Amino acid sequence: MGSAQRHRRRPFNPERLSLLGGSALLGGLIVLGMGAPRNWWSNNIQLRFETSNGAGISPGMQVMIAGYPVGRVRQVRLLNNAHVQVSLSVGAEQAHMIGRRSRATLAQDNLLDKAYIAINPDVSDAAPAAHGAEMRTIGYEASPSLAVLVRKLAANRVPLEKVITSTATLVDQRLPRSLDQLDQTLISGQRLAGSVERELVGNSGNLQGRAGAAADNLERTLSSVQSTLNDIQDLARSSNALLQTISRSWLMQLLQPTSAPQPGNGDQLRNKRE
Amino acid sequence: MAQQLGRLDLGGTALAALGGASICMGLIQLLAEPLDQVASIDVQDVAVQTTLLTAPLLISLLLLLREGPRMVRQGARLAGRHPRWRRQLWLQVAWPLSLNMIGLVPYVLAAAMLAAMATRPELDSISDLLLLLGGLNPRMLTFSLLKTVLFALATLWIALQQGARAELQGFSQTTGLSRAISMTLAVVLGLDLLWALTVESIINNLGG
Repeated sequence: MGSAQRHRRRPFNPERLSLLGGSALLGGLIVLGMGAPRNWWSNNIQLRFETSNGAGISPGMQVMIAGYPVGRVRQVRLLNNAHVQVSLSVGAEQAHMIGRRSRATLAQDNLLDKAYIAINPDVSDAAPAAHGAEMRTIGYEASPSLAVLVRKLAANRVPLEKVITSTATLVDQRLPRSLDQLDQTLISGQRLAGSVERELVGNSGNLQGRAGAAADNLERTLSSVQSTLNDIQDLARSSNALLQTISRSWLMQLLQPTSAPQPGNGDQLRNKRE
Repeated sequence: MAQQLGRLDLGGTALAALGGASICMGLIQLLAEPLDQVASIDVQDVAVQTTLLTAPLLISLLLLLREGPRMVRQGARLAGRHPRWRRQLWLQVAWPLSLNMIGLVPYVLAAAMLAAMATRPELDSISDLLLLLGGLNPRMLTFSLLKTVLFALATLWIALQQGARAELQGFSQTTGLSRAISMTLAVVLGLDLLWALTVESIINNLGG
């Protein structure tokens, strides 16, 4: 163990080197993956908000917009006015989604999930992103705590039980009675429908008889009308023959005027007629 | 000979990775079965982070079990010499040993993540891996690396000392190794407790 041994050239060990290289590669990948959601490899903007109750908020907590991780909580500190100031680091690419109406909330999806800071987006009125600019302040809405929710649930339990009891009573007592009544109503309706049907059948028989009688009357009337028309036709024919005979008689030829009457003759004829 | 102490070889790396995977899988089963939350990524996240916390203990235990006899033998060789020689050997081995032990941490962590992904019912591996990586705490990773170095150096020092003591008191080296194992476990666990109680709280208070 002398200086000669200390300065002896260490033999090349490919196994050790490859294992160290693999370790360095894995370590690099781990650091890369660890830094990606923390925006270590991209530009960030700084946001902050103040709350009177910072319970549940801790550095490193995720910041999400619409359920997508966009940053981390950087710092939580108590101010002199007993308020808690929380600083957030959010990726500059998502800065345009945070506007004046954006609010931060402490959220938790279910009891076993980790809590995170949810920011509701406001793309309509977003302030321009500026890396390294002055820290922006957004509003904070305290979410109801689990204790408050349990208290509200306990308060709602009694009315809920009443509703359930009423529903059970309704189903147990009123519903069978209503079904019986509905059944009786249906039987009465069936009976009524039978009597209406019978009445309709009787009425339709009477109507059929009356219609047959009316048809017979109409037929008789039509035959008498037809004979009358034949008589009128015969009468017209004989009248026509009589009129032709009269028109061909000499008396009518005598009364018929000449083809080119003279004024004097016309006057004479008119005078004669007069 | 001294340079070979705590060398990084395939067997040690495989054991470390297997240990990480086993611890992580066991933690997931422990957490998931009573809670019926196998599908929750947070259970896997907690298991991986706990594995990261236990990685220094695991690595120092592996170092002790694999290199303990050789370290005790080295200590016995230096028994008749001045304690300066032991310090010099410790310093000589400290840097490569620290580097090698730190090199085991990524393997432990990667194996734990692979084990965590293997327990997922739906095999959306890449996104799960990114979620697990994103869930790692940089401060916890740094503390784990520091503790790994601290525990490995403490293990080396205790083994060298117990080897020398066994030689001086006429005990066999196996007795020295046995004492080294029990003392190393006590010291490492005590250091871990002390770290959790004091160092982390002090650093957390400083960091705000």
